[in-house]
Amino acid sequence: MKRMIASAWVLAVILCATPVSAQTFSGTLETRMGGYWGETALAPLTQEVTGGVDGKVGSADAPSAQYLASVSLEYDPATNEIRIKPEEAWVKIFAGSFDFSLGNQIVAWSISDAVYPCDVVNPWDNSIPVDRAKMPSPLARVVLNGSFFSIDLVAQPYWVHGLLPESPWETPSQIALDPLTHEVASDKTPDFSWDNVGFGGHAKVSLELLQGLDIGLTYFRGVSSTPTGVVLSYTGPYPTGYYYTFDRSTLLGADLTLATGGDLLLKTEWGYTTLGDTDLFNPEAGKASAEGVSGFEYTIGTAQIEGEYVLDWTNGTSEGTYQHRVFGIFTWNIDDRSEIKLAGSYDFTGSGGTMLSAEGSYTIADGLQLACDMYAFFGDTTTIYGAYSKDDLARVTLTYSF
Amino acid sequence: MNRGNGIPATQLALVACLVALGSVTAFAQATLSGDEVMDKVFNAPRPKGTMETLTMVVTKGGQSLTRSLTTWSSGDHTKGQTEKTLIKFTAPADVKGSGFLTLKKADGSTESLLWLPALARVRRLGSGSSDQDQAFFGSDFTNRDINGFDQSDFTYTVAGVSNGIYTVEATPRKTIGFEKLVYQIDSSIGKYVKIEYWRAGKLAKAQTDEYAKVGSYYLPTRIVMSSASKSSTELKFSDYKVDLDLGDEIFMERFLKQ
Repeated sequence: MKRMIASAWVLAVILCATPVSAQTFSGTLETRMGGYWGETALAPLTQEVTGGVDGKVGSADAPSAQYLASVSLEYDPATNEIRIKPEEAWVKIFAGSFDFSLGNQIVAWSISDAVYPCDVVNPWDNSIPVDRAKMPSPLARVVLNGSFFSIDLVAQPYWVHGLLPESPWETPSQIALDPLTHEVASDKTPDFSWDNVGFGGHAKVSLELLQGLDIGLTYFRGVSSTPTGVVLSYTGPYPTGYYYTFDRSTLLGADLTLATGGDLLLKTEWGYTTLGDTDLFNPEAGKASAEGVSGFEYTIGTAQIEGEYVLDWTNGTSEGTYQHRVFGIFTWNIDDRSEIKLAGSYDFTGSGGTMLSAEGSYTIADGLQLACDMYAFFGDTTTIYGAYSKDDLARVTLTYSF
Repeated sequence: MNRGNGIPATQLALVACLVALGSVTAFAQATLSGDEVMDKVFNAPRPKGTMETLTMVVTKGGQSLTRSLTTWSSGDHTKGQTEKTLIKFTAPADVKGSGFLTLKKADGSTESLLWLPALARVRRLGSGSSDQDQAFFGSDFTNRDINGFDQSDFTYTVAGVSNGIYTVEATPRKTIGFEKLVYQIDSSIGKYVKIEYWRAGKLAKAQTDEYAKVGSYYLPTRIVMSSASKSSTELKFSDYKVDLDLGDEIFMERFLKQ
């Protein structure tokens, strides 16, 4: 991975020196304060600086190449740790109808806002679940652009692991391991080999039906970036550690977006995943799962209402297990400076669980934004949201973009 | 960038052509009727394909926000063509790189796509032309001001002629939120240089337009909309390229993302 990122940086630097390139430097400074509900005072949460360079080679209308390289530096006052994170760093060449790109990239194939069944190429940073974000990963990518369709093919030569929830967001299974073992033995991570190269693609067709119809199909086969199992390790008869295992996974996905007119948008997206080398259509128990989301967006002036229904299914020895959730999101652009967003979700598992969130932002001046957000969780601790009922959170963030 | 920042900017690029309405034929006659004056203004030829840079400054309570963007546009839906507009934000940094593509077809339906670089994602929007009376991008313009009125929306009466400036009162045939608009038309260039928007007997807002000759067209270089509420929005146009043969490849998702 390091070689690939380094190559992208080197290419970016070479292109920077190209006299015909139009290049800009940009970045953000972000400081965040806040705290969890039970805490008595606001505390600085994270301070982050992101900087990068991007540019084009050739004319603005028809560039022959494009590049981007950025990195972020994050300081956590709670642990006094400084983390340097490579962000996107890629070079893209435009040749006829093809785009070739190489480097640390983000791929967005999902069309929904609540869950992302088809976004499986990049690992996810789940360290703070309410800030869940895709992590750029090393990819070689080819996109064929047609007049009404596109085919996006990716190869992921090197496996990158995702990040699991950190304190206080650990899942019950993470917490259950701690008293036994206290430490994680080294993970059984996939080797750098041909067998572990991830590959797949997304094909999209756009049709002139009503105010636009998009239909997409997704296939990806690779090694899961989040653990698919855990194994205890023993010294004598006692467990002294554990390690995670990462299975090979295969995804088949489909999505559809239809703008009906009348300010209404309908969408649905489904992803079916199998683990290991189980049969795709006759999988072993516990080796197959599916996630589907269907919803709408309706615009009223500068406000928007979104509703989504999410179904999660995991196969078992008989019919498998089902989980149902609904999401509602209201967004209002009050004026050119202010926006508010209210969201709620209900998980129908057991006696049910609820998440409520409120976000607001105000642009103080060009590039300077003040934002606040809060999250509250209620309900049965066996639900996704009930498990976080001690993690209610409120934050204030000041961001300067340059 | 928040998603909303891009949405109201749907037809910003159209300002240049829809306000300017193309090249100019100076009024030859000494006195024309209101319909004749506005006929020349509305039906003047327009550039085929246009690219320009635009800066919008919104000032409220003495504080300003500035946005810069580049736009590409071609087609005229009133002539049975698909009107295509692509907008790329270039400043400030928090919206830089985001883009907006609209395809307005002859039947009036509109397809809209929004590019959000932070999410590496193109979103199809359900709202191609949201409420016409909504503020445009938090500015003093409404979406209707930006899109331009149809000539048939009004009846026109010449209220006076002085120093080559026709004052034309436009009375709406349907409800548009104003009881009348008062145009001042510079007959030497065939353009309106001022529009007053009257509501309930009071001046609600006023727009002034300045032009420069680009090729064979007079195109706006500066438009200021001042509201009675003491806020104002200034649009400044520069780097015009007109009569470009902008191919379909410009108005595609691929170029939106570049």
